[in-house]
Amino acid sequence: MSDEKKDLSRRGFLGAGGAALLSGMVLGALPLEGKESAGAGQLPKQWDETYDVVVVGTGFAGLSAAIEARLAGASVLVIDKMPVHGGNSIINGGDFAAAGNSFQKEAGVQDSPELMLKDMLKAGSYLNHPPLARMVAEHSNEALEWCKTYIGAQFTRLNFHGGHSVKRSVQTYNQSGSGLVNPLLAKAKSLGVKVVLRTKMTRLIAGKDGRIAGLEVRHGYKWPDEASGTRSFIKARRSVILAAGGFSQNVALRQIHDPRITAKFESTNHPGATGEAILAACSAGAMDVQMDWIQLGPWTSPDEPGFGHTPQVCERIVGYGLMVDPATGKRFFKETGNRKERADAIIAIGHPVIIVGDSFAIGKQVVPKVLEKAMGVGAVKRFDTLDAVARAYNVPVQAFQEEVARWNGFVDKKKDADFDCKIFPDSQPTATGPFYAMRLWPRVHHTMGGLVVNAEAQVIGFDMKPIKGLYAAGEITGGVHGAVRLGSVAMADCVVNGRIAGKNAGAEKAWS
Amino acid sequence: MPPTNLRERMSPMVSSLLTYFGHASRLLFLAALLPLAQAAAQTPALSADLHKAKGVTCVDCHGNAKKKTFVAAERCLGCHGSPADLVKKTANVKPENPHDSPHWGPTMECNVCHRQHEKTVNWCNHCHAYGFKVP
Repeated sequence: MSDEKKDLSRRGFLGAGGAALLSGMVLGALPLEGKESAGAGQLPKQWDETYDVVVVGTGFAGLSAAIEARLAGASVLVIDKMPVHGGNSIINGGDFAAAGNSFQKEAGVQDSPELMLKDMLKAGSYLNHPPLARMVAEHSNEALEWCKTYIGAQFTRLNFHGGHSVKRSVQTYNQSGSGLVNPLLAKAKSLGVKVVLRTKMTRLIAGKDGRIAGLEVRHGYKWPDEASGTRSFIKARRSVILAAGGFSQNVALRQIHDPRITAKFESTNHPGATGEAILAACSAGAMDVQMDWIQLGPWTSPDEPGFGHTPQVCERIVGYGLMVDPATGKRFFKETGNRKERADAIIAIGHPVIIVGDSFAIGKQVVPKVLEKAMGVGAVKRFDTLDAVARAYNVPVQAFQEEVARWNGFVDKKKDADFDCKIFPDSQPTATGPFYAMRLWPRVHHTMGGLVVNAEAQVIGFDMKPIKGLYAAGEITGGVHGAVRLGSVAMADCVVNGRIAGKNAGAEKAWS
Repeated sequence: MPPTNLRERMSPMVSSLLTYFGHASRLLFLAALLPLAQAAAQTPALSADLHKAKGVTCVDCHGNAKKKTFVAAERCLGCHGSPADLVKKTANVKPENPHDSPHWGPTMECNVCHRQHEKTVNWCNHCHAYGFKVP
């Protein structure tokens, strides 16, 4: 079977898996076997394992939480259902938004937590829960410094991301979230945190008083076979921390909250980003919020699967090159706009658009190895002339040439009179061959909604009070980002709130 | 229980060849499997069948367990060499060395991709379009 076919069948399966999961939720058919099995809210007759703190998820948030809980003196177990660690974090682009960071100071960029908060709230349509957004903005640089100095992660570049008012995102040395996940994992293990993969939480277990007491898992779980693995009850003496990510890959759950995001839309996420942990928490009394704010990334290419390499080319040249509708040859939206605005604009056009950068823009902004990979898979193409770009993508040549000239006029004046694109001090007209172009079509990227939490990372229940013994951080939570998460704020969110969750969870008084 | 030595289970001829060629042995071992891989094109064979044809029995991987058991990477590496060796072996695979990816480096469990009792998987292709042939 070809790789394409395999990929298609996988997506088909995920869709079916989502539906199966959904029917399971509706029927309340969470795995229950044997007479000793406990119902929701009931303690098992016997616990198989005991830890002070159990963390679900091995991404930025889960590992940050595990480290802080361990430092608070707790014994810590981290589980992940997948056969590989890192979730979405290990395949992300490695950009970390931090207000007032050292790279900004070196580059002479003026920034502040207040400005970052303002950008987050504006992009979030002011639906962000203000204390949560403020927490991330105010502690973003402290979290970055912790990653650098305590965890030992290396960051080497300062980048711009759409919707931010300044360049404030610093990138890992290898342009991947793995540049932070792997040092976090190594640190956690060195501190004595136990990390077990292929272990899926099937439900949270609460005592009579509603306090979370532990969880039921399946060890040896073989994703995505829900019947695989063997059941085990794990006691969490102090707390459970949920850091299991969002649900971008769960088509059925996505469509409950936004029916427009059908199976036709692919996702950038790792295949296990299906949100069962959110549903399990809700089954245990947690409240969810803003689940219908589902973000599509406007920088993915239909010429490669998943997140791929294109985003790290496209997003580096916004403000340096121009994005046009190939049907007209004209620009149609602010290239440096936020993700949602741009994705919506592309979807409204109804077919893939192209973005073009010249040799100056690409050479200055794109890491050579990234460009090589993106060209290697055929997602980014090189052309000697702008006419050749137009012919390759069936763009009306004359109209395209006129539009490039118009854009170059704006670049010269540092002011885009058509769409108010941010033009950087070092931006130059798109004029130096060879030229690079790529097609863009959005993919589902981030689910802004999730579990309601307070600024102490406690999960809030339907009685509007914290659920004792239950914490959450990262994409599994809702409220930090409101309607739109800005690029590179996920890393800040995960590390800031993961650390808060870990500290507080580790400091809880043991229930037994 | 220490990993079973694969060589003890091979025919004397193959075994002596492996000894003779020292480090190049693993390449030779793969070459020896090639005819089997071609046969597999006609009669679909799973990786476990290839192991079996080379005299590796169920017990060698699973011990005396009566049911399906998970086999840890340590068991695979006992015969196939260290992760560092495997990284070297696929160093020229394009566009990326699957045993040393930018995400997991050499730490992925073997059977994430090299499934024994079902079709093998190219895990990278969740996000990429790499034409790896996964044995």
